[in-house]
Amino acid sequence: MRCEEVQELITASIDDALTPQERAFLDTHLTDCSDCRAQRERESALKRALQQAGAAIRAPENLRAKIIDSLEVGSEGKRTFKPLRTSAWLRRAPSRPVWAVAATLVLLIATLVYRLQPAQDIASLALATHERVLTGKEKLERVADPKELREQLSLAVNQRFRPVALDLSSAKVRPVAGLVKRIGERQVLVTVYEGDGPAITCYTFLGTEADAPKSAELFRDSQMGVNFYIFSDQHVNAVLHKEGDVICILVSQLPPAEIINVLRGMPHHA
Amino acid sequence: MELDTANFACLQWPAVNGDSVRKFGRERLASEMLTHLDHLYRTALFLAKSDADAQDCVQETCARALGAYDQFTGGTNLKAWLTRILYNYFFDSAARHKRMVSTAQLSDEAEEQRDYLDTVASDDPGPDQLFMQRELGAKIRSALGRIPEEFRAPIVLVDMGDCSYQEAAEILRCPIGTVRSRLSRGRKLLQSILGDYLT
Repeated sequence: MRCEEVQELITASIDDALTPQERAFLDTHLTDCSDCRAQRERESALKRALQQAGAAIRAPENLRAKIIDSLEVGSEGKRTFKPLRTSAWLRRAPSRPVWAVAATLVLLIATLVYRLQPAQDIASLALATHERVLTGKEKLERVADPKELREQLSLAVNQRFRPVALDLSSAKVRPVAGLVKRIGERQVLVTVYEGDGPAITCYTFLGTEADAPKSAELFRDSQMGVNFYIFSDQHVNAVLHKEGDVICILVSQLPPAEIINVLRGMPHHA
Repeated sequence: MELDTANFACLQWPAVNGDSVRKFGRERLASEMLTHLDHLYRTALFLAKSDADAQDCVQETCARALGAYDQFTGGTNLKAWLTRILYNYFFDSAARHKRMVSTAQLSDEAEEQRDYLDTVASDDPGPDQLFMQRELGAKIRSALGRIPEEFRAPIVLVDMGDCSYQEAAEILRCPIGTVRSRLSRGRKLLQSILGDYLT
């Protein structure tokens, strides 16, 4: 097969989008072709650079605020959409009264959930409350079955989101208890992992990577396509990452690298 | 005026998990929509002529999504659904008003406009690692502004937006094979523009 004919296969291999047959085909060609092996390396480097460039572009806070703050209190105390840009939003204002009622619910709840006052609130409070949770100063619900614990926590937030299902067995801990905590104006599901290893608390909530503290150090796992944000205080370390629509913060006395390794499913060395 | 939701009907993709099919409430859609703002803004930025137009695109996308919330089925891909709405709005708006111009059309304009993406700074200065990549990031954004839209779109979606080929194909309304071939050609173009910056 000529080199020109495998260029798309190289592209798809970098995106892990090959069929087994295509992969076998490409592997055979790469074994004998150093030019194509070099091309795959160059394209992989480009992909990593594109991922990093993309991760650096975030919605401006003023845009986020405009959308969140697109509520205004009407003369009768009812909340309605405030036009973000007159031409765009007024044009969409429907005449059905039910819309206004629904809109009230929409953005009232959205505002309650998402008013991102200092974005690092939850992150810093996760560090601050870790010890309180472990020392019994927060009321925990202890459940023997991890699945039941996850279900109960999900129900506590009306199944709007669920705790991230983490297998932390490599750190010799398992989920044993949980609680729902309101931090700022958002609900956070806290799962406590205990066992033979150092305890880990997991904070799950609806959010974005902007919830990482500004000072957090970024570690990007290109293979997993996940950004890990590391931050600490004097006593404990935390790693934040995003899974789907939720943010997960793991807090522990383990070194940050160990926490990341646990998340990546790598052997725990402590 | 009622929102025309006819264009959104095709966006009800099969559920990822058959058991999880359920209608989203508006409030839930609003909440989860906000988690995709970075992706929507990033996508809009590489479509639109300016940061202001990109923000306009995102705002309108959010308004349209909320207006058509009952068209979305829980368990399907909200990110792709929102992105398709954004694309619809952008190209509809561009066709109607020609106010928004795809970055692909910038090649004939002034140099400072052509490189506008260089001037768009991330709102968050970002961690140290990204500072170190800043120069390369600026070059990449500039290079993306110089390649044709048909090649840029899959790169923005797949490489920068973590979309799968399937998602990109749904959003761009083209076969998966087309996504793959355009990605391949687009990356080649970027490599030729970026040259030594990648080594």
